[in-house]
Amino acid sequence: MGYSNSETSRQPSARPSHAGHLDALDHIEGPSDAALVVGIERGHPGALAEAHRRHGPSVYGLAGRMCGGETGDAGEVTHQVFLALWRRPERYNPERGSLRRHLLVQAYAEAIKRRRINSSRGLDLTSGPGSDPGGRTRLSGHEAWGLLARLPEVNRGAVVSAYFGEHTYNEVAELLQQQDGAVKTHLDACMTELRARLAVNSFFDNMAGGTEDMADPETTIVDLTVNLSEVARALFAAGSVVDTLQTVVDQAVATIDGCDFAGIFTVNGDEVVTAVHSDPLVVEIDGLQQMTGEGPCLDAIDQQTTVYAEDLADDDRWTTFGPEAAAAGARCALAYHLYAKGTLGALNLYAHYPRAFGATDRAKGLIFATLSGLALSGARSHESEDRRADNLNRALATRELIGQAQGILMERERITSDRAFDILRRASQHLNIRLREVAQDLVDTGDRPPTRPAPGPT
Amino acid sequence: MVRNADARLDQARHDAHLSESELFLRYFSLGGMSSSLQVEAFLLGALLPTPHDHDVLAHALNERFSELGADHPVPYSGDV
Repeated sequence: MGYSNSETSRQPSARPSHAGHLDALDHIEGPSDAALVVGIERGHPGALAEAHRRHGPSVYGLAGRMCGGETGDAGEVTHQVFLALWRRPERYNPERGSLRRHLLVQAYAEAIKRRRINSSRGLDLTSGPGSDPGGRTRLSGHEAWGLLARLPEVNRGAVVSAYFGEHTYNEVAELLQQQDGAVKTHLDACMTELRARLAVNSFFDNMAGGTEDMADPETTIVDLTVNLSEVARALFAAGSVVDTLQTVVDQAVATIDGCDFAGIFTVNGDEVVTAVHSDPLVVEIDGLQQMTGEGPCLDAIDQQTTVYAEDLADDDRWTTFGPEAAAAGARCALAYHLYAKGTLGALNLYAHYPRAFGATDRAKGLIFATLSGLALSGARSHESEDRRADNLNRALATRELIGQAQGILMERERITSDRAFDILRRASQHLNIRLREVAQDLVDTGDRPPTRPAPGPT
Repeated sequence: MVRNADARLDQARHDAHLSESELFLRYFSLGGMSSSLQVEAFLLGALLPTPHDHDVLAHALNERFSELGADHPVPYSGDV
């Protein structure tokens, strides 16, 4: 797995350097990693060799574990990682961690890429010249069709999109990987949990100095994290957006001591829609805000912040809405603006009694709001992906149907497929219905579609 | 000739408010066998489509015009 200097065709002066020392780096003993990178930037093969001597074994070790004992692959990965360091040393950013960490991350990414390529070999995606990792080999129309015929339906959308986009074999392989729902769900859940933890941490950082009414913060963090892991897991396991948001609301009521009922609403133009709620009273209160045009939840969205109303019966900010809400049974409200891509919304927590929410409650609420925002954003992107896949699948189904109809005509009338298409196309014009419907009729009934005598000008 | 009609294909695509990829999707669903790059080349006039490819594209456009309530303005190869 030794590093070969044969890749060092780059001229040392080809790229300007921002360091003015280390010219004799090949002879310096024990330079720092940062100095090595500078040396590599300046085109010193010795600097690369030294980096490889220091970190090559770790990179190779990780690559070996990732590649599952295929030593050839581990060597390849190691080679690629150091080659990348040589070619693009500026990609290493010392502020983001040590050089070793950078190289290991690169090795990880490279090994994952290879795994995908290897696993997709089972689907015969790379049975041609696909062993060229950077190759721009394109699928020809016939290869693409051969693939489609062999693939399970769920994966067809990905392949078709690859075909449409003229992607390479490797890109197709990656697309297929991304279509794997289990992987995606798992990743989403991990990401959510991570962000939730960050939200907890940043909240308690901000609370430093103001935790007088909070239970032991350490215990609270542990409690919250356990709870949140569950919510996060439920979040992306739930089927629809609404299911997901309902989970958040139910968990919020169950977990937040002061909270008696809760809901999430979204705003479309002037209309406030209560997406989910734990109690019909929420719909009533949301409706009151829309009618009076004021209220803590609307303010939370307008001002993109958290709004706490300790006692709605007596609050200068909402002189109309406040007393009416209090009369209806909501004395206390805590509203969070939701950070969601392309959607305006708020998570609203209510209580029957004034001053119901302590600092811990407010911290928990913030985290639930973060989760709701993520769920909304994630759900939206899932939906648009689904729509795209739908379009592709519909196109495929139509194509198959038309192909069948052509096949029937070809067999029956001993004509070419182009001629068969012509018959279908003329019937579509003549009857003024879509060609797909003409094909459907033919496949269903076996009757030859009526056409005007061909070829005829209008 | 077909070549004259091709200059109008891209104009028709514009008039039908279809992006190149939307038109390709329709062409594909009607059984078109050329790749998206080739179709783009047809539209740009860089490649000459076969009469069949031309007709599939023309029909994809005409079905779109029907949806928009218009007639079938794109001529087929046999019509000219």
